[in-house]
Amino acid sequence: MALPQGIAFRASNAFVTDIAPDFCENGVPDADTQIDTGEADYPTTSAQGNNLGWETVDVDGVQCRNRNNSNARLSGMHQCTNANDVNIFRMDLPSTGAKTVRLASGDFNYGADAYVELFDTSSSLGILSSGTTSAAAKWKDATNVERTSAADWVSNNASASKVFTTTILRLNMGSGSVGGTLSFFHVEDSGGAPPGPTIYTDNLVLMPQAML
Amino acid sequence: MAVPVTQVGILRALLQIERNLTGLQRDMRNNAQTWRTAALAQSTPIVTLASNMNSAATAYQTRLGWLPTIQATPEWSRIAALYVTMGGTGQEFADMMTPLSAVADQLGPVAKTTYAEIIAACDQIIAAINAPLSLWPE
Repeated sequence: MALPQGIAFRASNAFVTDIAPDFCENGVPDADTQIDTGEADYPTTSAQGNNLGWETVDVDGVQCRNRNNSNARLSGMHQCTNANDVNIFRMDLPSTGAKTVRLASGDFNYGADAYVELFDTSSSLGILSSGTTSAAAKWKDATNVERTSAADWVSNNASASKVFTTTILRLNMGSGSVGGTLSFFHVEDSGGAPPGPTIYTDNLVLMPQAML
Repeated sequence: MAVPVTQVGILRALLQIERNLTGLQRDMRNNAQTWRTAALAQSTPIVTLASNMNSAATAYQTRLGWLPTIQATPEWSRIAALYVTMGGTGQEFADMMTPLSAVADQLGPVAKTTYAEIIAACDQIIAAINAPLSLWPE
C-alpha cells in the first residue's frame, strides 16, 4: 500500500481516462447509477495498491453519475439520495502520520449538497466541506471554499493537512441531516508530490498554482 | 453488558469473507489488466507501474491475512458450520485461498524492470485468476 492515491467518483470507468495516481470509484456494477446497501464495495484494491471502497451505504443508496468528460477528476460524482443519509467511504492508509488531503464536492449539472467529514477511524478530523454549492459546475475544496469552475478548482483548490493516529481513513458523505457529494478525493503523505499532472519542460517544472 | 455473538454476527462475518475473497479475485484480474494496458501503451513510467504492483502485493497480503485471523478465533467453528449448512466444506476456503495467495506471493518479487516483464507478469495473473461468477457483466 502506498500514497499518493486519488479517487475519482463517477458511474463508469470508461467515461474518461484517469490521471495518475487516480482510481475510479464507479457504480457497482460498472455504470450502475445507484449503489445499493448490499453493493458496498470495501475492500477493493486499487491499481495503485490501496484497499478502499464504500464501507457503509445508506438504505437509500448512493447515486452515481457521469457528467462531463472535459476534466477527469471532476467528470462525475457520487451523492446521497436523501438529506438524511450517511454513507461511509473507507481507505486503509499505509501508515499513520500527517497527510495532505484534497477534495472536490459538487456536480457539473446542478448545485449540490456538499457535506463531507473526514475521520481517523471513528475520530472526526473535521468537516472538509458543508452546505451546498451555489450552482452547477462549482466544487467545494477541502477547506470548504467554493471553486467557481473546473479550471478554478484545478488551479486553486486548497488542501488540508490532517494527522492520523490510525491507518483507517473514513469519509462520511452526508451528516444525517444534510446531504453530501463526492467528486474527487486525494490523499498523500504531507510533503509529498503535487496531485496534478506535473508539466516538464527542458529545465523548468511547472507546478499547479495551488502548490506554489 | 456486551452484545452476544449471535448467528446474525456469524452471518455477517461469513458475508464479509465472501465479499473479501470474490472481491480480491476480481481486483487481481482488473488490476493486472489495468497494468498490462498501461505497459502496452508505455503510458506510465516503468518505475511507477512497478511501485503500484508492489503496493498491490502488500494490499493483497493484508486482505489474505484476514481469513487466517478469524479462523484462529473461537467463532470460526460457528462460521464454518453455517457455511456447511449451505452445502460448502471447510476445504473450499483453502481452495479459494491457494491461487490467490500464489499470485500475491509472486507479485512482489517478480521481475518488472521492463515493460515486457510487466506484461508477462500480468499475463500470468490473468491466466491464473479467472473472473468470479457473476450474474451481471463485470
